[in-house]
Amino acid sequence: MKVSCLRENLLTACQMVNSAVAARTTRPILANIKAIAQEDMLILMATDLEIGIRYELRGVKVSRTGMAILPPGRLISILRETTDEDITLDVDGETTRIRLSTGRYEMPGGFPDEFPDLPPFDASGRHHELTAGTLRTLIRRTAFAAERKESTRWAVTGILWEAEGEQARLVATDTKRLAITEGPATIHGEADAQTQSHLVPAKAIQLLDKNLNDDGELIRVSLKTNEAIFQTERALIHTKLVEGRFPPYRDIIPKKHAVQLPISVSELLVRVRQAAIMTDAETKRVDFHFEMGRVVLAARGPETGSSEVEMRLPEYTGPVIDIAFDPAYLIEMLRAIEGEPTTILEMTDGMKPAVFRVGENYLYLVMPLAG
Amino acid sequence: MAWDSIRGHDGPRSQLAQAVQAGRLAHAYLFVGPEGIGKHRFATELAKTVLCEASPGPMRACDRCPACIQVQAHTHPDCFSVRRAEDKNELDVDTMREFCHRLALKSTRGSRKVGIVEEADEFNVNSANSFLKPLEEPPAGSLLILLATSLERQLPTILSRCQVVHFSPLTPEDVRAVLLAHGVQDPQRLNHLVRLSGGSPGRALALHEESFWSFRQTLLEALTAPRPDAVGLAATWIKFAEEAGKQGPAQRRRTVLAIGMLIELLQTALRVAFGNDAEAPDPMNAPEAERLRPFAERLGVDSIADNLEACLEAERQIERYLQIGLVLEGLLNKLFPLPVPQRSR
Repeated sequence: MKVSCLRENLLTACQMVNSAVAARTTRPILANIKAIAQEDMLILMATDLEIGIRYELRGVKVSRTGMAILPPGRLISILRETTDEDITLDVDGETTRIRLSTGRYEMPGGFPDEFPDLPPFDASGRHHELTAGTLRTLIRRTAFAAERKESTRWAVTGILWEAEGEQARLVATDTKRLAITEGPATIHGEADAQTQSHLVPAKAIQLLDKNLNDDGELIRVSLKTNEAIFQTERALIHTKLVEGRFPPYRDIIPKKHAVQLPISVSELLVRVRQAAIMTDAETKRVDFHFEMGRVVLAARGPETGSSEVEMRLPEYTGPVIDIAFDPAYLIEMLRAIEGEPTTILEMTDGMKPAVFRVGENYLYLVMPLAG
Repeated sequence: MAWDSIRGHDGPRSQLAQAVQAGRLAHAYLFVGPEGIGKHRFATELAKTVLCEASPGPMRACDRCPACIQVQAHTHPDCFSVRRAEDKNELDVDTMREFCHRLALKSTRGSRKVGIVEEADEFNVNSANSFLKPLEEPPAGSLLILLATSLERQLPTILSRCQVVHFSPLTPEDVRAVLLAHGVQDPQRLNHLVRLSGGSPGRALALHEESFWSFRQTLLEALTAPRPDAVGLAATWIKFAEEAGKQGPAQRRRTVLAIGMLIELLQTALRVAFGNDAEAPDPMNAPEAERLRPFAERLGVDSIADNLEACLEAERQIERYLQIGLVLEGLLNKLFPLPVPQRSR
């Protein structure tokens, strides 16, 4: 195959695909990317057998169609270290040649046929569509809440993805907090006879997020028994699903609450960060003392010292409540909803979970720290 | 049927067949037996049996469906194995976590998946601990197979979570058949390999390499030489070990195999010293026994037995990652001590 294209576009495409390349693998070919040159586009593919991506690079000049196996690390370095505007990949048999204005490279390849294929997007089965803008918000507001450590509670390392009615819903939890967000989606096809949960690995969600471009772009999502497939304008992402049962999250959302209080998102973020300066790795705790007209945030550590930060709440007339949170859990959430003016805080006392809501579509539940 | 190509191991086979027939296949098995006797092959066959999409009967695989072919080619998405990295002495925690992560994903082709831990001897405490939870309660439909060479090397926490299946060394006839199937033709070499194998065709095949035999000649010459050069022999031996490549595990393996040849030579000498060399298992090696006679008579039974002991100790030390050079120098100094000048009173 022989292909010419803009260096920058090829570099972006390679970097995008590279995040799905297997890091450690017993099958050497998976440490590479596969390139397929068709009439007017170059397709780049990578997979680690868990997550796979197929990226279409358009606007390329194909002088000879064909396939190739390319080493991503070195290819990216070549593209990054040159200032040439256009670049030509010339693959002859197993050898890849790249000619630059200032030099040339030759790399050995492999057998493209050995590379596993990714299943195509099946538009006839049940799937749903949502815009990239909506999806980006959904991901940004939930993905951070999933268990990130290598945990044996497999189910919560994934992000629950549901679609029903006119809505797509993403839910993530690490069992100390829970984020639920909904966004408009169009659902096509018949529902499956049996309902099952679809847990998408966090790595696949990150890759999907990276592949979202214009807010208006339509993303198609197909959730199957064992796999999920996402089709964006340029990329198809395939992922296996995580095994296990997601906790019954609806049951833990409190039905009643003693206090409902609107709070400014930006101000709360600033105050929590100010108070959190005096926490250390041991304590990781900020005490909130709500009283008429204000809340006082306090933190202390045995070596760091102590802090006391006040935030005025003119509308608060409710009872005195003492409640403590891990500041990281609040900061991450407040960053995710930055741009929203206010969030509604619902709580009962220092022992029951607190809930932050934004409109109808976002709910973040966080467990208070005891003692 | 590929099951039929597995020699020996009827015990494990019927044990597992009973479990399959009763629908009581456990979720984790620990296969224990010496190296190179076909545990991995057996595990692969079991994986095929579990994953086969056109199973002709219980405890059988069709060997023709895509699933069987993919398992055989190590490309089945739901059959994966883990072993330590080539330059590592242990199965480290990152490798194990990745394995657990794969276990946590849903299977691709069907509802079952098989995970094989190829070197369960090499867990360290951290990697073993990271594996305990999945080993105790793997996701539904999974089968875990751990391959190990001895029960003593397993942590009790791992042991208590697996069903143990014991694999014995093969009979000499079976080893012979396997070697024949692998194209070992020279009858003298065949006999010799069968004897050296200790029931492990894998070991015999590893020894079926010219360099081992020329090295064996070097060892024989050293034993029969009037003034053996321990230092020179140690240097030759280290060089021989380094021919295995840069990786420590490969070098150690080569050294241990060579110690096995030394042990065999010493055993011959021991037999000569006892005076029953007529009953040697391999009469074709009579000339060799004759060459060893002066050595055997000089040292006597007790010293030869001590030397054998030293060889075994060296083997153990190498398995415990002592530096190969040091172990060999120690061993050879013990085998060929410098003459101590008689002290006059």
